[in-house]
Amino acid sequence: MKTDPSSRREGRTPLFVLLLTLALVLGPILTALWFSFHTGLPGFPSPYTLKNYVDILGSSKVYGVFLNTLGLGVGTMITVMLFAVPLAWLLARTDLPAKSLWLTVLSVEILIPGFLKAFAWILLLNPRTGIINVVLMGLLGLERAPINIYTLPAISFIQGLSLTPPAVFMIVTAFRAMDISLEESARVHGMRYGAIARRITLPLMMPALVAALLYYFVTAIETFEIPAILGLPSRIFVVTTLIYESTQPDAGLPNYGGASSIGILLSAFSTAGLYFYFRTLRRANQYAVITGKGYRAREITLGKWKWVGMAFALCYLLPALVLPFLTLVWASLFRYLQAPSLKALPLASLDAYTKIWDAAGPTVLMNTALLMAITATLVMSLSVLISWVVIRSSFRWKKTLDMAAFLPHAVPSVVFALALAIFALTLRLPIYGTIFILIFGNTIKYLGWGTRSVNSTMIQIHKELEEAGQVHGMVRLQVLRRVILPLIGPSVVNGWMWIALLALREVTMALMLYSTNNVVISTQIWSLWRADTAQAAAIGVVLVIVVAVVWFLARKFLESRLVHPF
Amino acid sequence: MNRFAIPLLIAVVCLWENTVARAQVQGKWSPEVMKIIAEAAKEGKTNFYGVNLSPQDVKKLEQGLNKMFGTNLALEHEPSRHFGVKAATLVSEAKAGLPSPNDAVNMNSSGMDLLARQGSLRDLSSLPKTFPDIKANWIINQNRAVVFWHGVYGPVYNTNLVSKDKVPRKWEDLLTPAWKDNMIMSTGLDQYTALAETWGVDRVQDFLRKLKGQNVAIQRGATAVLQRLAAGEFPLAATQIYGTMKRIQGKGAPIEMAFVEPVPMSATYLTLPKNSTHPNAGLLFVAFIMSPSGHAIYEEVSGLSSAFVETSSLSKVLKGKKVAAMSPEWALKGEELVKQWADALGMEAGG
Repeated sequence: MKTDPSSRREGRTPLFVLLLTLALVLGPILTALWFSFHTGLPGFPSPYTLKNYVDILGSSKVYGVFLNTLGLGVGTMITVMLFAVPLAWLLARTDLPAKSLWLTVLSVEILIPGFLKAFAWILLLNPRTGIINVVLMGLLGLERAPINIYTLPAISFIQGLSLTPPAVFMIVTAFRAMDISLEESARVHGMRYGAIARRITLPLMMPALVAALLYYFVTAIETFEIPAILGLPSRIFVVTTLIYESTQPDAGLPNYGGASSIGILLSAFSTAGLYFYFRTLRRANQYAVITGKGYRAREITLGKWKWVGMAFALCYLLPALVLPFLTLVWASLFRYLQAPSLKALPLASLDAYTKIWDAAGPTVLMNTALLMAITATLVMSLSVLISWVVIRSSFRWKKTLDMAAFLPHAVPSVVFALALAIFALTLRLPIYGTIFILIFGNTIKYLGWGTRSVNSTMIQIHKELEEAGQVHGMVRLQVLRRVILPLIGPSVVNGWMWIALLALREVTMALMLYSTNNVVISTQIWSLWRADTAQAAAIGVVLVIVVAVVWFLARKFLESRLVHPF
Repeated sequence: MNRFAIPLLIAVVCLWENTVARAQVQGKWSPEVMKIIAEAAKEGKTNFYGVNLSPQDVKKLEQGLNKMFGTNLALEHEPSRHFGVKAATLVSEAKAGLPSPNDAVNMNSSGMDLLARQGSLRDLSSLPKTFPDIKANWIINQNRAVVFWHGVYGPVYNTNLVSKDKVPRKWEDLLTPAWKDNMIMSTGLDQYTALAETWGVDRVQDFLRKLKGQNVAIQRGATAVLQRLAAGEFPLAATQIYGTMKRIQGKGAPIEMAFVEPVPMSATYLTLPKNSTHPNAGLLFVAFIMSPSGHAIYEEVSGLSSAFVETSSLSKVLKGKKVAAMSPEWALKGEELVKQWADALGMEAGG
């Protein structure tokens, strides 16, 4: 029997990585699948049944809900494309001034919790008293508000704004991976920038862009907060609303089996999206000419156009960050939420800021720090191992490994957290009710994000460097440790910071797995919003400012070490 | 010599205060209660599951609890998200052999009923005898729960936008053209279950179908509805809970409730899980929060109170009003009825 020599060289490490990933990922996902065939509560005997699926598929309203979900996904994707592609291009390929600042501001945008953004948008754009609508009605002499926030296109737009920053970072990587020699040749031959963009850049980038957009399509259809808050007033339901209804009905006990089955159906829908994602990505890798020579693209000089570039970035940041953040500041100054107006100003006070330490004290901060640090470290460590096998090895099951790491992304967070709770409870895992169950859940959930990030960096390291290490007698793990890791280190740190941020803002799983022992800042803000709006908003404001400063300094530090500073 | 004088004086004063407090407590409580206090002191803390409170509010409750019993217990608070989910989690945890993380649990009817049926709750029959502030008729469901706070409902209006003469006086007023497109309501529909016990199911359904025709905006969560009302987005919330209204009104929000008769009223309960880790401290907490002084603090921080506690504001505002109080038996039909109400209002996503 012949053995593949390359496989022999790789030893058992890839197999170990595959088994570890499957063990982590499949536990909760299979639990959700298993529970979708049961009724009743976890821990109680119940026979296998198709009732949950029959109930869902037998309801005529469900098809409308799936159509809405599709509409939400497509609308979000279009918004993301409108903002993320030009922003990524400006940041990756041009000499746009103050890039560090733009990148920092984009990063902190994700920190404002979705439900707070939704409330900010209600204050700004509701058709009755929304400030923007009132101003527009005054300016244009209209009798009715020109914008209604409670419609599917508006919800998709706001959701798209919310998902743009992580999309920018993903697309930037694709822009960076493209060899610009073709563009430069075209320029030498007298082609204008517009024609180069249309005839060279876009066709080359298209598969990578489509892949990124599919990723955000899947993300959009599994998010809950914004469609729930803005969709309900007009009775616009999406699949995640259905799941929420099943897990938190307005009366009675939760229907976990029903929620799991809807989650599984949505995951199947998302997995179709993921299939196209992987297919497109494969084409992207064929199209893109990957440089392994440490070659850095010459930045396009914007000249006078830099003002247009900055205006475009502001066009995004104003509605996505500035207005919601100002609304948050406004909310922090008043004992109850009120519409921004000069009349209300005399009632403003900084009281909420003086009580912040009581509300977000040492235990909450410690839990949050543990969640961020351990999750980010675990995700990036696993991602390096997985990406190394996927990108570098000839391991037979490497595609399966890549997909397995990505699979949790297709499962709605609420169902994933529910499955995780049942999994931990059934196996009596000691992490149940502790901060470690949140760390475990977030690690699995963000593995897809981590592997995307490391894959795109690892693919840029030329194989010659690795081979040189092997020629000098290093085994593959030594090559990973002594050659690859130092080269991708700054990008890994960058990914670490992103995962830490995502873990910091994650609230859906944190609420599902909540106990008094694992309160983190996101759940504290959520709880306080109902008890003391000003206090919750004040914590949000301070959090955004602190993270912005830390992020800016860390980015400055990283820039001096990164070849491509993103 | 002088540098020791002040710390010594402080130590003596503290010791004195402590001794006096203990003496007062010893004189106040029966030997049985003193035994519970002694055991609770060993447990050191108690955990309460109930509506969202700020950390400052929890501190106030903790101070009140310790003042009442001369203890030094730490009070932990788990903010409630959903009574049904909590009940489901508690029974699943008990099945898995885990201790309950909560010593006192605020529950709605169906959640309490599930916990009682699973045998997860302690018998509270001796409570009125041990703690005379708690009356025997507050203990229900075969001695498994104490009536904790009542949900009293009515239309809530923004006082800056609605003049007194326009305030709804009867339920049918909500169906007039003046309120079309001008109302918001939350997805919580218990009030209609209470009303149905008096009105009958058909009349409530008919009312809700007409209410749907008024294009009422829907929002999840009573606080969120009242926030939007206070911010002036809507002049009227079709029905809201009095306690939440009171809490937000207490912060200066220009909102007020119109008590429309019959005034729907539902109840929530306090239960003690059998498998709690601090059973004695949990018992003291229940005794404290149902006492006039404890209940006053709870009302101050949450806006919620029991109509049974004579000193509560709810008891006062309901005097002389015709109340549609939901019986515990009728409350158990809530799950099925709420689905019908949601359907009539077009709220159900899945149908």
